Amino acid sequence: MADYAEIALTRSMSFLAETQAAISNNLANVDSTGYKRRVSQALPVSTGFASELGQRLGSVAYQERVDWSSGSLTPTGEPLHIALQGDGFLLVQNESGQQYLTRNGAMQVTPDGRLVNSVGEQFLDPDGAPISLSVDAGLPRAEIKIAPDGSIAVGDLSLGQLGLFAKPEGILTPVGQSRYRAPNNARPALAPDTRVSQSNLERSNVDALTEMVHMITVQRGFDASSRALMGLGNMKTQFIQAMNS
Amino acid sequence: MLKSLYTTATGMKAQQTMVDTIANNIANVNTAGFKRSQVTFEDLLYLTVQAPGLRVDASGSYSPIGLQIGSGSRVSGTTKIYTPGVLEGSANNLDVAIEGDGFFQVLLPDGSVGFTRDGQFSINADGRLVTSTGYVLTPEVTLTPDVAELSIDQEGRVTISTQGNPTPTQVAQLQLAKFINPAGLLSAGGNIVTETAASGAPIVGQPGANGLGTLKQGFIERSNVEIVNELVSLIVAQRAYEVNSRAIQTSDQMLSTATSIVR
Repeated sequence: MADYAEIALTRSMSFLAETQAAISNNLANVDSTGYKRRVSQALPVSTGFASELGQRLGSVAYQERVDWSSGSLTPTGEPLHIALQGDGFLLVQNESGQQYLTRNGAMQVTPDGRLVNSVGEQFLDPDGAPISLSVDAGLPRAEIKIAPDGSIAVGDLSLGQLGLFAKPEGILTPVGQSRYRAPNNARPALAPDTRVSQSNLERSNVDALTEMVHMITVQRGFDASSRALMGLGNMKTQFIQAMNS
Repeated sequence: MLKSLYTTATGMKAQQTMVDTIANNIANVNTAGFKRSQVTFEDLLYLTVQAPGLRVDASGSYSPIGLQIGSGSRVSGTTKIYTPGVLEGSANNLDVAIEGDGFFQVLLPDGSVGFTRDGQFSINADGRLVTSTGYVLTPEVTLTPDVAELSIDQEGRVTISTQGNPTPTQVAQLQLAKFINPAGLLSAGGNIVTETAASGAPIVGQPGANGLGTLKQGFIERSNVEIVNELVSLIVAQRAYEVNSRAIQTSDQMLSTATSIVR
């Protein structure tokens, strides 16, 4: 009796356990600004079993992909909160010059006029330079206008321009806080189609209902696999008993 | 599986903070000059199980995507939202509301300066203008006991007439302070915020000048808490808490299913 079935079922169970972890992460981030849900997917790998049957049974590896669909906008009333409409990203840069892509537009202004996120990384303009608002004593906060193209102004006075960047080719590596690292840290191209919506934040695109349904499916699948595994175990026991009698 | 238990626990903790913040907002719905707080969440760091583009087997195939597993969410901050509250008329001529940006400055017991938008002033035993908590307004405004009429104009000029002298004379000038990043102010309780490195130094000036708001005598600024919005947020937070707790239950059941294979 070959162990293909056991191996396949064990793989299926570990796959489902990983999927449950991904669902848990989505549910934990149901309110995280700019969060994109992560979806588990099976990646066929060429290694594994020698026989064709074995390959079909269990040669999958666990992978996650990002669902980039937009989250809904939630108005906050804060002039320095922005949401992006379209596929683009904002670029932030930390002190050591590392750049990250993000759709989390909860901006703050530092006393010296730099636009930063919650961990103090600076937002960048279309040329990739940190944005610095010229803050004189007269900057009326409530009158800061951020236009759909990302330009920041008070009345007729232009204060700066937010860079809107396209999603680069390849895989973005998540680093938390709704930030992603571009492949090879390349600077992405500009995204002319992306629009900025001021005084809004983009909600997480996690839909609790979908995740719950997913979770039930995962649990049922896990139960079924574990039962089949127990059934196989029983078969073996009976086989051994039959041989001994 | 244990990972998913901890992951969802971070979600529940984050939602708990959300409920706490909403509760504080609702409790202050009638606090003059109160600004509501908003919680923002962010996803936590990812555990890189496999980096993208690595060789996965001897035949030289590469993993087209990497595997990073998330570890939940955290509260990234509570932001005070400085939108104006509704101005409500009051019969007291020492009630002053700020229309636009700015804070009144008060002297705190430790000698430092605090900032408030609550302009419900009264006169203490020394004739000085104080907030409802008793903090002295700075720069100080001292009034004599024989004041008959008192008016405070938009630019903060305090003009009085006395029983002996009916001609209005200016006796004081109120000042306002503003911050480049009011979200960085520290809430010190008692409707007072204090300066921090994140808020920057106060920019002090006459009301109406340099982008500072103007004053409105005989008005109180209500809190900017909208009870309906808060209740909706409360329901959302409760449901999010619920789905996270369901995820813990499911993970737990799966764990128990797995252990039941071994008898």
